[in-house]
Amino acid sequence: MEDQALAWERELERRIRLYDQLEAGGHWPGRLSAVDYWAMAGLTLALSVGFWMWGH
Amino acid sequence: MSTTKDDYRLAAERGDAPLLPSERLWGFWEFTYANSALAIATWAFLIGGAVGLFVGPREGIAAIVIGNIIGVSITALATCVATGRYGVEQFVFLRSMFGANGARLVYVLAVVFLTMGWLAVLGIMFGRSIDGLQTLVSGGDPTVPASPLKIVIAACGAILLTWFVVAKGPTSIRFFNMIIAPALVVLMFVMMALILSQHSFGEILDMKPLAPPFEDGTANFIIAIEVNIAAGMSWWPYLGNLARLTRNERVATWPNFVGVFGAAVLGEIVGLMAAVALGNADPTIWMAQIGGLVVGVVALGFVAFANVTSMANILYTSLIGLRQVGTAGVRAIRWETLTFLFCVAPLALVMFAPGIYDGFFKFLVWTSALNSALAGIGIADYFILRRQQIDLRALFARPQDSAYRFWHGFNPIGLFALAVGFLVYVGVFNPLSLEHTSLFVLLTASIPSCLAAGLCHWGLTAAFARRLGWGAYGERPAVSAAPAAQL
Repeated sequence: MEDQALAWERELERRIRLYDQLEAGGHWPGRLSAVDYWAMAGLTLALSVGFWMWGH
Repeated sequence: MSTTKDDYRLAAERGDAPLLPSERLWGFWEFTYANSALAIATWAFLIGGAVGLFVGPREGIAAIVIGNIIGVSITALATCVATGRYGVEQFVFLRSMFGANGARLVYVLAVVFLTMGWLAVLGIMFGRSIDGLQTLVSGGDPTVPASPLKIVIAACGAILLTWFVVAKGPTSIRFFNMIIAPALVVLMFVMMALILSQHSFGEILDMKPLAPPFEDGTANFIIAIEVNIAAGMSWWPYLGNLARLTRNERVATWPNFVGVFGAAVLGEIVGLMAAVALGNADPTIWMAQIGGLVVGVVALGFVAFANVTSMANILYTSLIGLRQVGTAGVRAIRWETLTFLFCVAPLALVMFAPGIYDGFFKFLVWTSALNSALAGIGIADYFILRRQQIDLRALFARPQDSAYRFWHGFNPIGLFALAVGFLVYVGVFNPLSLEHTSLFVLLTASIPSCLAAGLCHWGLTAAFARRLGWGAYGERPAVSAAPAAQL
């Protein structure tokens, strides 16, 4: 039982270290860039304003 | 008994550990399909019908698009970006802003009440569908419910059937999902075609709302938008846990703008157009009228069982969340028993408060008072205060050793900000009476609530949390130098 708990802690640590490496390397695959955030804001604004003008 | 790699992966899938990027298999289209399947559900007809009470179809379509894009974009930012990056379960992630016990409290407030309410509403919809179907077959008037008692009995039967399906495990739910989601899309297009065969699109756009509560058309329009923001934000408890199965944060975020948004908009527009064209907001009544006996029977029968699928989905998701927030005592309860305990309150609601169905949009809007505040806190905490850096060790450490222990496992600042957001919401807009302040007509209620909660959390954390040593704000997470492969 204790062995299993220990093994699980090692597994958890292994997983966390993998993310540590990504963090330390500063390279997150598929990270959202400023372009993504601007595009989301633009899409939300365009749909909101466009449909407000069309519907109301 | 040895533990295999697959056991670890399974435990990580259940949320006990972060999923590794290599274990996350959903790409853009897989996630788009998964969240479309979640959003394509019978509640879309209900929400569309509710919109038709306040505004006509032209304004209604605008309100559906505006409300959903605002609700979905805010919710996706608050939940999907972090869970998509770190692969952590959503309520584990919440420990970084509310503490371990605070996350439990949020789970009870946001998930348990929401799930129980929806189970009752969809259960009654099942009961009404069966009642309407029986009336239709016997040649009666489908606009008049035949027997309230029968509806209650059928609704209780639906909840118990849901319990049975969920108690059996996820395989049966996946099977129903594979059939029901695509079939509902087909049903929506059939409904749309039937409506357009009776009225031109132009005629429908010019139709009047069913029961506008105010003379001021702008107030009615904003209420319709608010109902839809609430619908968009009602995905808050569920989206993060789907997003963590995707490959990265971009794949975790963008599909929501196609899947959840697109599917909800489609279903709600069909519900709105049918409700206004046929003069009744209740889908179980307009479905009985839309295309004669055969179409009515097929649609009502199908919708009745589609409700059970939706109910099973939300019940199962909520119970899985319990694994992460539950105490050892809760985890020790047998799966079947826990599932049944979740069904007790919905059964009571169905029996003693069946009016929840007709006023379901009020219940939906109440949930937005919480969800909008939670989203505001999530965005302020993750993007501004933590600059998108989470300490995974603190998330998974024992509560007493965690850097995110705050005060006895609660973050008083986060919970205070949640209360502020909630109070701002009900101060600006009363979901029960629909009374509102002038700010509501300018900004809705969800947006001020989201802003107030976010600003409150940001300001108080910056002013006090660092001084009190709560939550490791402003500290870089400890990073191990040893490569993961050495472990």
